[in-house]
Amino acid sequence: MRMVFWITGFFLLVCLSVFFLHISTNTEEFSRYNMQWNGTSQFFGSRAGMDATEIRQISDLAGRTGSFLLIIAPERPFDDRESREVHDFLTQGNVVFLADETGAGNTLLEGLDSEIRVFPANLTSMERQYGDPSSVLAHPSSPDPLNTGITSLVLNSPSYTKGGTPVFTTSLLTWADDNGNGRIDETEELGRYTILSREYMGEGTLYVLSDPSVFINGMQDAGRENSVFLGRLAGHYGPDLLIEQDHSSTAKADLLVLAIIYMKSSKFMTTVLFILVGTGASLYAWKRYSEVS
Amino acid sequence: MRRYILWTLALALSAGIIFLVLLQSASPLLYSAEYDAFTKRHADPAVLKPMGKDSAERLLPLMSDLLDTPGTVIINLEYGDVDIARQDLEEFRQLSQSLDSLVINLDMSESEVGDFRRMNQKNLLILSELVESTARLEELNTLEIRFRDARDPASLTSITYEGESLRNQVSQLYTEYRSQEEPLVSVSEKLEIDTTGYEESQNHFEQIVEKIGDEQERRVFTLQTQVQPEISPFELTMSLAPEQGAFHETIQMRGNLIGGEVADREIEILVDTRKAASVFTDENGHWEYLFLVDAIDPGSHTSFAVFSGSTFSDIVSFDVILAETSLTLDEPRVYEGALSCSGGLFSDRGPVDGVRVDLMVDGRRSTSQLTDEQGAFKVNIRPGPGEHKVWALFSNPDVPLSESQSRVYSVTIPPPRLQEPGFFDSWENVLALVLGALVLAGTIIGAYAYLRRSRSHVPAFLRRPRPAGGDFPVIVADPGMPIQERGPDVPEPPGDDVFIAYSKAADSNIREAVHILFSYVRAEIAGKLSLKNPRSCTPREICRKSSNLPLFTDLSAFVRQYESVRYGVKIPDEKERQSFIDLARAIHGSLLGGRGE
Repeated sequence: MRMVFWITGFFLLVCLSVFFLHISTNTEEFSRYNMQWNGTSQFFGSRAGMDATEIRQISDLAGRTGSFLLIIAPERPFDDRESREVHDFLTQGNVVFLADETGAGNTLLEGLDSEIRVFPANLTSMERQYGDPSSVLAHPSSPDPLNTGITSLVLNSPSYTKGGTPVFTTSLLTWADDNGNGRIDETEELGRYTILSREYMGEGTLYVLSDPSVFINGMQDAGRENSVFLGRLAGHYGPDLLIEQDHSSTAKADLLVLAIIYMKSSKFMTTVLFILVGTGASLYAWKRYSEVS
Repeated sequence: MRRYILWTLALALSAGIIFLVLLQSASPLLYSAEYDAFTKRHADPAVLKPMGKDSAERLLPLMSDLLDTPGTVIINLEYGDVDIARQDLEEFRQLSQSLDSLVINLDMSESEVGDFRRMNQKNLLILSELVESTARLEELNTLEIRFRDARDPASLTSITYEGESLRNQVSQLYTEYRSQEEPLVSVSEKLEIDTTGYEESQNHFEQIVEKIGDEQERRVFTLQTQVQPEISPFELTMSLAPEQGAFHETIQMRGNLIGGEVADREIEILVDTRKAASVFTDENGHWEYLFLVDAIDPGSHTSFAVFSGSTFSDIVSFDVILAETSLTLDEPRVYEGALSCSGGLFSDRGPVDGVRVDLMVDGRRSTSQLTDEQGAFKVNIRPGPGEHKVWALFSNPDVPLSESQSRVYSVTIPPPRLQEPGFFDSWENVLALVLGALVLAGTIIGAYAYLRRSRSHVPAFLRRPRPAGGDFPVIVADPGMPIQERGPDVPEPPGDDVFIAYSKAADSNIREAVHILFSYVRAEIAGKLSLKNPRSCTPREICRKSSNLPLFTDLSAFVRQYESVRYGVKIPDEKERQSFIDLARAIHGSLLGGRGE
């Protein structure tokens, strides 16, 4: 009887764990809570990601120096105040790395008076890692700490940037596949497109990458030197890493996950939960004792 | 009754689940990474096939090599190294084939790379002809010395005429090569390919043309001044009308043989030093030939006539006009998964017949068809279900017709109509049905056997016959109800057989033994209370239903011990075994009003 009880209990525990694992993840693109190929859980679960400081509101940037701010896949525009605060952060000698393919980050670039812009496009190339033409390869263009020693990066349907100093560019056999047929047509032209641009602003440096998908789980083992590049971004050899979590798609989560996050982050809620669980367990033990007696 | 319904439902449910599982057994894949590998913007690299070779990385270096190679071929020709030029040309041909394969594999025929490839192909043709012409001119130079030394004016005239044709041909090639320069350099510069070598090759080509011209002038001078013309009794004339022609038009070549016996003499007609035809003179020495403009390059060409290998006509020139073409394609008709395409090819001089028109589907040549006398063509193809871009293309560098393309149509080929297969058309369904039936039958037989076995384990004295005419009445124990001492439902006092069965079973399987005893007690109480479906009652239910009876205390103790042995896997000692019998007897006695013992 007791053996059956324990085996049943074990399976129930396993089922509960799987269930909890299931409800604590999601399928949102770029979400740090998404453990599938299009999430960023691996990056955020890495040592650098876990050690990084989360920036929940742009005003938290004030007064920081020697930091590297990552803004991954912003999904909503930046207002003037936020742009000013990022501008102050930049000019104080920090680095801002914006990874955006939709153009949502252009509001920040405009607010920073940057000459770089992101142009959303379905960039496609003959020089690619996989059979799918969207797996475009990018190569170093001009000397920069971020591309030193790297020969190529694999991208995943990138857009392109204009302005600034090109740091990574595609090969000439690349085109914007406007009709999405994966082929180059008469109306589409081959050309070299910039993937990562750099611009110095005051004491700081602004980088704009037109493909945030280098951060997703599926691209971690995609080959080439993506992991070296990410390591460099994560600040293995650089300053303190800050990760923006206000505008970024990486912060996306459904209600249940948000509740768990809130629970974990709130000491009060953790205490309440502990009391509830303890009370329940005590009641059950008392009931069992009464039955046996 | 309700129990049997539940059994039946459970059986049906199990059989249904097994049947569904069997249906999936042929293709047991429930999930694969491909199912969610693509989002609106991204693709999961895990499901993408890696590129086998770095084909694209080879493309630009290859194009650079291709742009440099013509210069090498031309320089070698300029310096008279025809054999080395031939080797370079062969290398150029192989490189060009590599480019062709790459462009097709990479599906880039509509890009600048495709334009480069087309111009490169034309360069290859030009250089091939240039090498052959230059080689022949080298031979003519050798022959000229030999014929001059041999004082053979006829042969000298022949090679002079051939030299003239070759000069015209090389000039024509140079014009074509020159016309390639601007677009080719433009495309190459866009692709960041160094064009210096190619641009320099134009000058070297020009040098070759000038050199050939000088040699021809010298040859003519030699013929006119240093060799005494052979005195021939014949004279041959030749004229053309018209002096220019387009594709599939005719140029009338005619003349007269004068002097001596002129009737029925064979006259050879040469076009660009190649024999085009032989005709015979009439009784007046008149000859005539209709030259059909067909597979010949556009531009200037030379022709002359020869009689008996020693009498030459003058060289006369004619022009072949490059006719502009237009290609029409009617809207393709879709029927039964096929595509019917028809159209016509026309030049500015009318319908173009006897040439092949390609039908392109999604950028690839699907088929080709010869045009008829009206310039019309019609083809049927089966491009497969889905949306396709279809157009017609005419491109034939061997004939003096310009390239042309029809308008592009988007057509959708519907998927073939699904003929719902009958259930029994699929062997998988039949297999699943058979297996399902076997499982169902097995389940039923197994259930029946189990029930039979279960019943056979119940001693005969525990089986209570069902009252005739229906179920047992539902009666709840009433403390005021007198104990029924006699009657058809009242069990007889327990004989030794119950306890013998208990004792026998207890040695080997105590759990089964206590169950025999419990079944006996349950049957007795159920009989006393006329319970419905007593075998469905759990020990605690029996206990609860008897809570108002005097035997409740004993029954509670009995049930507690029974559960500890039956479900708690407790092994009772001898004293506890006897206690079971004592409690059963006490219950029985209580049921009989204290006379059970």
